[in-house]
Amino acid sequence: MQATLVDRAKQGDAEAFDSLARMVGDRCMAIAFRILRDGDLAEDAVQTALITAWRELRSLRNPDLFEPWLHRILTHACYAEARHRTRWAAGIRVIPAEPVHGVDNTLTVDDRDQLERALRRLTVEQRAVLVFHYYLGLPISEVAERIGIPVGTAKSRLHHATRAMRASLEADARSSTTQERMA
Amino acid sequence: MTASRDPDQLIQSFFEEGLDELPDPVYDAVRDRIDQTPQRAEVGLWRTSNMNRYLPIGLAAAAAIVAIVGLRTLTGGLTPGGIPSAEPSASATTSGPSSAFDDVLNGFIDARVAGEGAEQFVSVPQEVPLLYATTSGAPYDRAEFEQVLGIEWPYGFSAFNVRLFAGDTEVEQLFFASPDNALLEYQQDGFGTDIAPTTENGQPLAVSYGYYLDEVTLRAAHPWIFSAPTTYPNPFGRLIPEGPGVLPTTDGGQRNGWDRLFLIADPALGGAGCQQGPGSVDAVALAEAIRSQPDLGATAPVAVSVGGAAALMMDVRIAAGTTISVPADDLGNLCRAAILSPVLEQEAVGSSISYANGVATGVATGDWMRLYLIDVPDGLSMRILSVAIVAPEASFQRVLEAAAPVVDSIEFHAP
Repeated sequence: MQATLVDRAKQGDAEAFDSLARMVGDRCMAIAFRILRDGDLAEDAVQTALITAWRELRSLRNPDLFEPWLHRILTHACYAEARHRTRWAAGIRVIPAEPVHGVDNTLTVDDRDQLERALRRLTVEQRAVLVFHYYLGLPISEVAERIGIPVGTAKSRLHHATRAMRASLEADARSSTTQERMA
Repeated sequence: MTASRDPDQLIQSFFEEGLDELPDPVYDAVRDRIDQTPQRAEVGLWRTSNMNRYLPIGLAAAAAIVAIVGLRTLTGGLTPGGIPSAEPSASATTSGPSSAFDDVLNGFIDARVAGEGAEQFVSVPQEVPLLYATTSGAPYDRAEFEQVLGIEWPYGFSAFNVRLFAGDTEVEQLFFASPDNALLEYQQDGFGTDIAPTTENGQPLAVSYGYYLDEVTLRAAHPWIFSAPTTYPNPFGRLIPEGPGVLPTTDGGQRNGWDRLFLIADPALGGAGCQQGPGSVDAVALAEAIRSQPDLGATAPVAVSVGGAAALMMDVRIAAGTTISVPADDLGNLCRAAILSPVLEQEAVGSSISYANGVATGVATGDWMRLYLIDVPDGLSMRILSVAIVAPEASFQRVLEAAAPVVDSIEFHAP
């Protein structure tokens, strides 16, 4: 179905591309939001990525690979959004007190706060690797393929980013333990 | 909070939270935009070897059926569609596309001769050179257009050759139009075709490019296509391939074998990490460092001048598969100053690069590289500029010849 739409869109069928966009848009939004941590920026990145995809669609040789190909475009759109918008740097976000959809109930508000802060200290490139690995569940080789970087680079970014995220949780644990002792 | 919980599970849970629905207005905005956005013809950046063996035959046939179907001369009073196709062709649409775009094209060329108002007919007017006058500033006195037919013009697009005359000077430009878009589109790369997007008296028009905040400028004409100043870490140009085994294309189709020219500021041969500033004190020291590594197959440097500055010219010929190292940052990105990065294999399937301690190690592509190592004038943000022209041995000489005018056009401008 998706491949058929891709083929039609490659022939200039805007309706087919619109249908295609609606099939993949939510997942793109989810990825972009998790990389950028801002809904407005994520929407802009997805919009840019979809328009770029339309424009460059004829360079896609295998229609079955549309979504991975789109994700690579999306990732670069996220990079551009992150760099061009100063609003992101402000880094102010309300941490939800209650989990949203399908959240592991072991994740506390403190966890979220620490992870959010840790994530915002990472580069957008590192965040992208984290999202593709942890959110989409892709192995590192596929993350590299999807983002368009060498596997070694992906490993390096994942290692650094995961270490930073883990460190934030451990720091939080140490802080909690200290507070408990002081109490 | 307990230390016994799995941090990876927590990170995964963290990423499960958040927005996961794209609002409808975004889809609507995308739909509006794509209705105004033509699709690009397929243009490959990287060299591959899977060219369809029948493609040249088809392209040769395509070249034979380019035909005029519409012509309008402001002063001569010819009407659109007044000249029939020279050759009947199954793919030649002699009336539909032509009539559909007549109004736009007529309005466009009328406005160009009038000296105002042409912008409204073009999707990105600022990309169209010589919009109202020749390079000498002479205004146009008449104009005409013709549709260019071939096989599968880029995927539903119609292509038009617009000719403008100012006395004895003739400017020709290639424009594209989509049935879904009322605007004409001009592409500096001619949509990947072998047709120069703009010529003046038959010569491709050189376009100016400024890099490093315009400290370095150059001029390049078709068949060179250069990057925008901010698109890539290192400015580079691609040369539309030609020569044995590569026939012209008129459909903007699959492209193989781009040859390239890079600009590299303050190049670094070795070292670890991406330090700021030059890796060598001057071009002589850098050339000596390159020559000191036998694996690089470097020729003796020759003194030349580029942009009025003293420079050394030398070739680097590293055998394919030779292990080479270039500096990289702590994220594994090749440093933009890495002078060997253009010949480091990065794209071939199965190639791999390892990173350790600020150094990326991989294998050489086997392409040859002509280096100009230029001691730039004082007052610029860099000390050395390297021009690296990269091509396989078989096309190296042709590429050097094609690159000569680009190198000759380089100028330095102190802020």
